[in-house]
Amino acid sequence: MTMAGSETAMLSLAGVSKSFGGLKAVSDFSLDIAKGSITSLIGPNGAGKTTVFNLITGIYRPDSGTMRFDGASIMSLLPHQVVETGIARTFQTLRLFENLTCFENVVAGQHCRCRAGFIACLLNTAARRREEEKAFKLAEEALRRLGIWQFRDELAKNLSYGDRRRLEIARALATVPKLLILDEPAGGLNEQESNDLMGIIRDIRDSGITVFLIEHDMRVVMGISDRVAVMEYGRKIAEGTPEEVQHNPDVIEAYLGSDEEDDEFAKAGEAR
Amino acid sequence: MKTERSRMSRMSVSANSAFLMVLAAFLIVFPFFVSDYWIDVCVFWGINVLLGLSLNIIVGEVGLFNMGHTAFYAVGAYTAAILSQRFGINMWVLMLLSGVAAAIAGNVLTAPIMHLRGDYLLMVTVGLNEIIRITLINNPFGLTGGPNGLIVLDQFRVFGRVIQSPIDFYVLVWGCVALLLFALFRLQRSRIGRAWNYVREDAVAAESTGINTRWAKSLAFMIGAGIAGATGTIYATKMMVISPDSFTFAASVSLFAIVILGGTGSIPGVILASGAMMVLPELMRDFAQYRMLFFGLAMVLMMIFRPQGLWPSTRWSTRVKGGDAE
Amino acid sequence: MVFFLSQMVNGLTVGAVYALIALGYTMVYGVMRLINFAHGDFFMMGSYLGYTVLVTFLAAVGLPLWLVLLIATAIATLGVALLGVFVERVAYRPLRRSGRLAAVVSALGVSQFLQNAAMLIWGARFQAYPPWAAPDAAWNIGGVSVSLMQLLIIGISLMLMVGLYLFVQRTTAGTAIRATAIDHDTARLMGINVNSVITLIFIIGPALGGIAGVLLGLYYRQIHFTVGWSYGLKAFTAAILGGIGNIPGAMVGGLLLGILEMLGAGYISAAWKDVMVFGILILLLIFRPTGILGERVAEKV
Repeated sequence: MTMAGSETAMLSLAGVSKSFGGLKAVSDFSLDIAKGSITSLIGPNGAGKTTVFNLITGIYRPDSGTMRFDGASIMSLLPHQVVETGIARTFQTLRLFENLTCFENVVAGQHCRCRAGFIACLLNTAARRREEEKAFKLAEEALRRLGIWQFRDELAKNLSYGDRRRLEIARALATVPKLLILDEPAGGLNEQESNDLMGIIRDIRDSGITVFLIEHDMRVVMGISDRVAVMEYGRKIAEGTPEEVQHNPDVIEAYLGSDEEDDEFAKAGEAR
Repeated sequence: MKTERSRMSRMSVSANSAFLMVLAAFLIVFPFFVSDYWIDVCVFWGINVLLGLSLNIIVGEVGLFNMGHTAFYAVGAYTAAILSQRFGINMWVLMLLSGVAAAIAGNVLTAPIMHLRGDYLLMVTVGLNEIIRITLINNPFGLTGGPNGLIVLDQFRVFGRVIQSPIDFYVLVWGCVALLLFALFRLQRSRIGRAWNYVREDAVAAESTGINTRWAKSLAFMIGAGIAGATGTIYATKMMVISPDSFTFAASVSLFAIVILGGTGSIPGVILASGAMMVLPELMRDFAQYRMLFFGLAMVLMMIFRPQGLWPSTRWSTRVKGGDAE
Repeated sequence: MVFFLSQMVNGLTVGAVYALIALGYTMVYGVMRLINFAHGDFFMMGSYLGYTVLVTFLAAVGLPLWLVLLIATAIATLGVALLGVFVERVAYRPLRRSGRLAAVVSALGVSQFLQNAAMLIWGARFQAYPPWAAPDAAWNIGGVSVSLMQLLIIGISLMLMVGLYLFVQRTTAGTAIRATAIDHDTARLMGINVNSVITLIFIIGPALGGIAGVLLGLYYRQIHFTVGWSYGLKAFTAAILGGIGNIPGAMVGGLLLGILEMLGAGYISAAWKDVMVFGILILLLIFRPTGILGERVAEKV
């Protein structure tokens, strides 16, 4: 088992549990995510992966355990405070500001980095304008990085599915995170699009941002991950490099229950 | 290549500006040609524009269904009346104080209920409206004068000139509208205005993108309630008598209808809809008693056929000047 | 003790009326997840329809009183049920796919329309039910005065509530209602006609409201076009108190709220009783939005 709060861990979860009514969605979950790595969380549907994300990002509060990010506890933070400490996320089912432009969607990420209050906004002070200029510049960078700068004035709802996925990542990047959490980023993407996505994720990691993702597409998982953790029934059943996990008997067992996943698993193995 | 960044408005924004210019021209010329009666009608139109714009911050910008807005208006009017009667404080100071009092009420009363979902919030704000109105009727500590209300004898003064004729009030009210519009434009184009819109679009996504949704909501409630409270002072000096009858649930409903029918979030929409609410009944006597019947029907039809409202909101969306090629 | 008991009887009487109205809120909410803001106005319309039938058509006919009341109630109930079905068709059905808030605004519009229509038809002043219509028998049981009208209201309401409960639990149509309340799409896959279920809900809910309207008119004698919202808001509080979407909850919530209101009016202050009721609504929504019988459900993010 991993030790909580080891030196190089960006994020470390130790003994985290969460129940809904009688259902233990996550039990005694521990995981360290190394700084500058890409870590994937995989497992059958309903294994509790998204719940882990919701616990980290403050949407749910864990029943027990500890969660430390960059040396400080994030146990009692509200979601927006979690973002301020440097964790940004995307959602499994896209949650964009549909009726706002792409640029506005991405500028949202900079909100927590700006300080102008009611009076400053009313008086339109020089400090407010400077701060906004910087925010706009960072938003522009995020849009360009995801290759959707040309859609900046389009409403989010008018974009294609793949571009909407990119927009959500751009919005998360605009918060200037240290850790980026992606919930099934390749979901619904075709092969070409997921290849592009893998490039983008690697590029994000190379720019110094740690990445933690949930993914079902084994080609993506095995292709980009430095570490893979496997969940089943709310528990972590394995962790290691992609190769280790692929040959782990418990993991194969867990995936045998589901033919589809098993096939994908096998295919991913062949592809490597 | 570095680009110059500035906020540009959409094409439709020029329609907004054109509307406001035509309105301003009309309002300047209008008083020269009509009787005091019609000037008074426009004074009440202006008061409703102030109230509608203040509610529009809460309902239109943030998407919080507040159907008890009159409660804050009442808090402002009564604060002004009570303090004026007992301490004879200057009306301009009272306008500020009643705005602050209403803002505090807006903050304190809505703090525990802000997280409620739209339709629940609507029911609770109706309840709040009733609680305030019944409290005013029950005359706690002899402060509110019970069902008869209070008399306000003091008036606004500008360099010794007492504001009491219809044209004085006309200038005062529409001057306040102009100031408020200016303030709203500033807010809409700032991180505060954007945060409000993010919360309206998707509160969970907003919170997960680092926006303190609680802060955004309570700020909107405070500002909206504060403006309604300050407007209450103007109303009190205009009417010279205020009573619980002026602050009923029905008044809240018609304010809510103004905002929805105008096109939630749309400033010209609020001005047009409150004009329709105040001025049409004066133009067509027969219309007066059918007014709310008509507005009720309009709310249904509009949701089915034109959910964006009379004058759909054309936000001053944040744009970047795009002279550069990709 | 006598005072306590008579307040209990008064409380049970208004509580029974609240419960009947609350059932309409709760059934529509259960099936459509919509707070039908016009529901209080269905109740108000029932009250006025009953009044008109009594005053205009039946006053001169010379039938026995019980038959007159039965006919008036039946016509009012039928009229309101038709109105309910019509409103659902015209104002809610086209909006079923447009998001909840559009339906909320539409419901508010319907509410305003009905209120003002009532005002235009029956006038802005209070109207009084004819004094001969309400049975005025009353008994004194150990100092506690109990009128026949009170017993009728409590008895009829309880019968209707039990009947509705059995209907929903025991019959095929009731099963269809319960299935639709859980999931529209699944219900549709099971061969249930969701539109018919919703129409049925908009017959039963308003009909119960219509009956409550006539009973209340006979009890208080006076009716006004604004009673829809004041009683509607209280009945909504009752529905929340019992757990919205839950049929037995609406019954329990209604009776409990009526008793609380009358005890509050009797022992604390009559002038502040409505403040207490709305205070209960606010406290409930803050601390226990699922009510007494509702289940706590985690919202999926």
